[in-house]
Amino acid sequence: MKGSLDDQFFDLACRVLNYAIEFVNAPGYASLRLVDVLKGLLELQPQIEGVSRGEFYEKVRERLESRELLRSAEDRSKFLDELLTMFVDEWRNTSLR
Amino acid sequence: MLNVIKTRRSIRSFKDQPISDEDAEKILDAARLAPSGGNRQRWKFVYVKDPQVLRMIKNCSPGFYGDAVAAIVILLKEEKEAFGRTDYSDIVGIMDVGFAAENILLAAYALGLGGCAIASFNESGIRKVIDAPEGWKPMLLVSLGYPDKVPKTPTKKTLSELVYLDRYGRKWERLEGTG
Repeated sequence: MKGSLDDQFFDLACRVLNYAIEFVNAPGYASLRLVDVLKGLLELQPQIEGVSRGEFYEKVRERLESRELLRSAEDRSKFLDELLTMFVDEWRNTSLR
Repeated sequence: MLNVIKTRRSIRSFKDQPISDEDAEKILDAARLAPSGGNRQRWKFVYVKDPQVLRMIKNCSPGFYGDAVAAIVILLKEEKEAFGRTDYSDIVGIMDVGFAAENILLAAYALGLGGCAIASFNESGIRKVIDAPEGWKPMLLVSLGYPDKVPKTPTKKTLSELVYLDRYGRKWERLEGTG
């Protein structure tokens, strides 16, 4: 992983989200726990100097906080895809030439 | 050609060295010329060399190892029917993508490059990142770059373990003891 601390943090968060999506249909708690890791990571963001995009991460945190109990894998998949869209939109708006 | 097939390795560690557009074109041309069921060529290839796009492709692909300097996304046109059979289309399409990927990997190796086929990726994420239209399914990624570390040749089954003559189970004597 290369680039600024800001980009590295973004990439790490985005990868954790993608791993959660990878496991969404697998039995067990891997996907749910990875979403917890993502949540924990984003909660650390305001405390890390050099990591910006505060407004974006705040929106993701709010969305994570507002999630209801998602019982089916289909609902979880939809929710995670929504989060991924937020990441892709953020990347598109800030990183593409 | 046989030597290329025999010595190619899947590369997951790359040098920070760009691929020339000329070489990229040769590799993509090899993909274009791969066989396809009914010669339908229902594929598209997105060549990714922008570091920012590549970065996001990696983020969405748990199976993407190494800092490749480029990647090819192979997309398959989704069809409900092939050769009059509804249960056939995906199978033929998957094989076509495999043929194209092998051509990509062999062409890359012949040019001094290396790469690895990657099936573990988030399809929805890749779709969003490359703006894939509806009806075109990202099926496989191939990472590309100049090899940094070349892995050892893994143990391969011998011909005698894999090949039968005329009917399943009948050994072909000439293959006994071959590597």
